[in-house]
Amino acid sequence: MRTTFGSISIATSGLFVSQRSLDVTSHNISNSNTEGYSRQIALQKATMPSYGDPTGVVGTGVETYDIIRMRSSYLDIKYWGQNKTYREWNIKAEQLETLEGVFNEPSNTGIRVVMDEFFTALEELSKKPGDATCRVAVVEKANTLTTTINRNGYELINSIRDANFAVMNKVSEINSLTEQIANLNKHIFNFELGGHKANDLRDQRSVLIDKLSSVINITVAEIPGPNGNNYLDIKIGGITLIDHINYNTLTTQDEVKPGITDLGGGKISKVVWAGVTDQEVRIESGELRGLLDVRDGDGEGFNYRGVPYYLKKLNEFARCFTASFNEQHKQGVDLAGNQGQNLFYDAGASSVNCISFRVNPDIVKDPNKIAASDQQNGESNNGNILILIGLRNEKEMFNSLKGTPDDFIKSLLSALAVDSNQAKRMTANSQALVDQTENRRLSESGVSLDEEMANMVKFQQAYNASARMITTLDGILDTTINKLGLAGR
Amino acid sequence: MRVTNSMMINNLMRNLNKNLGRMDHLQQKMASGKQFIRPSDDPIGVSRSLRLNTEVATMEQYRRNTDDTQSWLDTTEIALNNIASILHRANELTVQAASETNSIDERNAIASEIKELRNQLVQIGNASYAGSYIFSGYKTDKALFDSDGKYYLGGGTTRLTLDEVIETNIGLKDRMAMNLVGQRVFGLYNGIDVDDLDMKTVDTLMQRQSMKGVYTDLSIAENTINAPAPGLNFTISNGVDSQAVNITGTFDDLNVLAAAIKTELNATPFDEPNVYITVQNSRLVFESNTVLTLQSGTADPADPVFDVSLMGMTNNQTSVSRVDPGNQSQLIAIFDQLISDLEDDNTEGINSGISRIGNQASNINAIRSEIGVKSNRAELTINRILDDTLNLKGLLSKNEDADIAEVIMKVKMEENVYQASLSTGARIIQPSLIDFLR
Repeated sequence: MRTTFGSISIATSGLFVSQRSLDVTSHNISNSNTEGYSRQIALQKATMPSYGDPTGVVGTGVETYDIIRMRSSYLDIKYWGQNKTYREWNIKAEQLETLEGVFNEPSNTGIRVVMDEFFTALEELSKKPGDATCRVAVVEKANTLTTTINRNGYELINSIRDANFAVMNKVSEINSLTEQIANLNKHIFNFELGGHKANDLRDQRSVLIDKLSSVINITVAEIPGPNGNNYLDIKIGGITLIDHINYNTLTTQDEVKPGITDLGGGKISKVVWAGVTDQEVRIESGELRGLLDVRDGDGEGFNYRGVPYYLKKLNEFARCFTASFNEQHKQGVDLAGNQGQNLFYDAGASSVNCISFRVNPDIVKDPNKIAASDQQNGESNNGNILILIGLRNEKEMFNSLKGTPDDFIKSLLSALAVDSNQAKRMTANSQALVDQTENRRLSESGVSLDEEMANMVKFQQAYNASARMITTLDGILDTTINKLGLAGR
Repeated sequence: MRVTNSMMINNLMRNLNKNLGRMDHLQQKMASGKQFIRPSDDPIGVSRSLRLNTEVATMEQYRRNTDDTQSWLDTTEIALNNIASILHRANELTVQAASETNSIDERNAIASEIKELRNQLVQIGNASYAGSYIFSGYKTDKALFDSDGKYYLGGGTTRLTLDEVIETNIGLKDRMAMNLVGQRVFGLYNGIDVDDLDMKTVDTLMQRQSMKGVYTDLSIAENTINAPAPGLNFTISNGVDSQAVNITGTFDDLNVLAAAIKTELNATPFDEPNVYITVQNSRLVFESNTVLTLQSGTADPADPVFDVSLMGMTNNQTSVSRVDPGNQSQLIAIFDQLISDLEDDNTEGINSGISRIGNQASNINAIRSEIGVKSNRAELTINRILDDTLNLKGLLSKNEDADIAEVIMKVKMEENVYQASLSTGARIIQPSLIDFLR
């Protein structure tokens, strides 16, 4: 026996479901440009039919039983894994490009040119060792050489400082993201106690995790908890950063670093876990790794060739160049017939570095103290100058590399060029991977306006049809109630 | 695959960005005319470019050095030419004066012209180039002669030695002397032995010096010195002791030979610091604070290397190649002698003056040809440097200059691609179902 008004309730459920679906469609359209938004779908099913009717099982209408977001956690994990590599190389490429700007080669102002000019001045002096103009020119060109090295040194130190500042920023960024994620975890958990997924909050959390994955290497897992609700667990290098609503923070510990702090580079910040003594964070990739590599990489062993490597090389250049030139210069005699002094300033114990590299102030004051001669027998004795010029082809000047001063600078630049080139290539490669994954994520989760419009039409029509159903039922009931039983009246 | 709007926009933006990146790179190439802007654009190319640039700069410096050397040589050559014509004129006058028919007045007249020529010689000795006295060795700020025609060199204890040769780099490990040391032209006269005026300048330079010591002239063309048995034999003596030296073997150069002799002479009184054996101007020099005598042993006459016998030096007026302030120039002394012979009406003296002047002329001519050869070498070097520079610049250009035609073509291509992307983008993104729903 069917009930009189059952059909209306069936049609009404259709109206409700269509409205709900239109709500979801509208939500999707509205959020089509929201960062990290995943499209949602209202899932509907037929309601429980009523059994016991002898005519068969009759349907009772439709219901929306869940609203889900279209999201693949596989792609998310893949994205987080690839993103850290991309970000690491990206930041390295940026930093190394800055260094290339520092050395500014090939150009007419780089070390190559000032060194050429220094030796040119020496050559000119070799032809007229008694000439004051030539002597002043040598001092000036030597000055240009030292100040160019100094300037490069300062720039390197500044970039270490900048990188250190960026490291501290990144650490606060991690802490801020951590707090936000833990906060969202709480909301999501509370929300999901009702049994439904907190779609929009989860999207927001994914965006935050995306950002976190740019900064540092993380492993993300959802651990099943009580009542079928999951706890989110994020670890850095095996140590828990976020465990559901609890989280740890990172902090920085300033350390004096010889060779950098004493050259004016300030203290170097080590990234450690807050609240634990000396527990360093294992940073394997992400922007933070890139910054640390650039800031700390000294090129020793398997270490990355970061700024300290170039600083070390420049120091060695300044030190060995000073030592070689001083040693030879001291063997000559100056215009007044006195034994030569240091040509470049050296406070002793080879303390020269790229910052302190400069021409001996006594010689700047009195260029006649340039020891051009190998003995005192006339102003035009250029014996020592010729040997000094010959130092340009001296292959034993440096400790770490067998080669001339030109070779040394060239090898330094080559290392930078190759590294920068590699960083750019790695960036492009890893970016291609990230882009691909991002594309797949967008394909899976992005809002297609066409689809939403089609759905809109679909649900509108369904609504219209349900409404028409009610009109029809209304007509039927009108007939039943008002028209029936009037026979013979 | 599901295609969504944001995906399409992302892809479009990414591709447009890549397009723009490539265009930017090409524009930079166009604007700078270079293949690479940063080292990372082409690590190997940049390193090669650095090397080539340095080589070009060095070559240019070598060219300037050679140019300057050439100018020095030119000035020297002019001075030598002037000396040659003075000698020529002096020869004419002397020949004329030698005739017995000349009266004392005529000889006096000739003497006064010879005096003028002599003074000119002094002036030439003090010739300068760009403020530097060219014959004063390293003492380019000091005149060679005083007004009297005696060696000056700033006075005091300053000596002028034959090794005061100013060298410049005209190539990698390739040097060239710019100057000619004065005494090679003007010689040295001790003011005592008038016979010495008859000797050649080279010979007096060898004998009449103020330092004690001896030398042997082994300035040989070959690089290797061969001393097969019985080898090089000589005896060294200081008047009290003596030691015989016998050297056999093959020596790469004079320095090696000197070292071998030093090893032989390793006992008092012929070891250092009693006797110094050095190589100066391709000569083996023995120096000591006592008088040294070198006595030739039996040299192998078949071996031309040792054909030049060692010269025994018997007085303490001996050394290599040094003149002290106040010393007389042989060349000028010859003129002085000639003047006094003319004024004294000494026909015999005048006659020997002719041969003395002839000796000097041949010395000057030898030096002139030496300078000529050097000048030639400088010229050849300049040509070589110009060729090398051209070559290097060609390589440099090939290495770092952008092929503008190719770049323009690529820019055009990229422009087309960019425009195509833009218009495709406009077509894909703009319309959606919304535009068609009523």
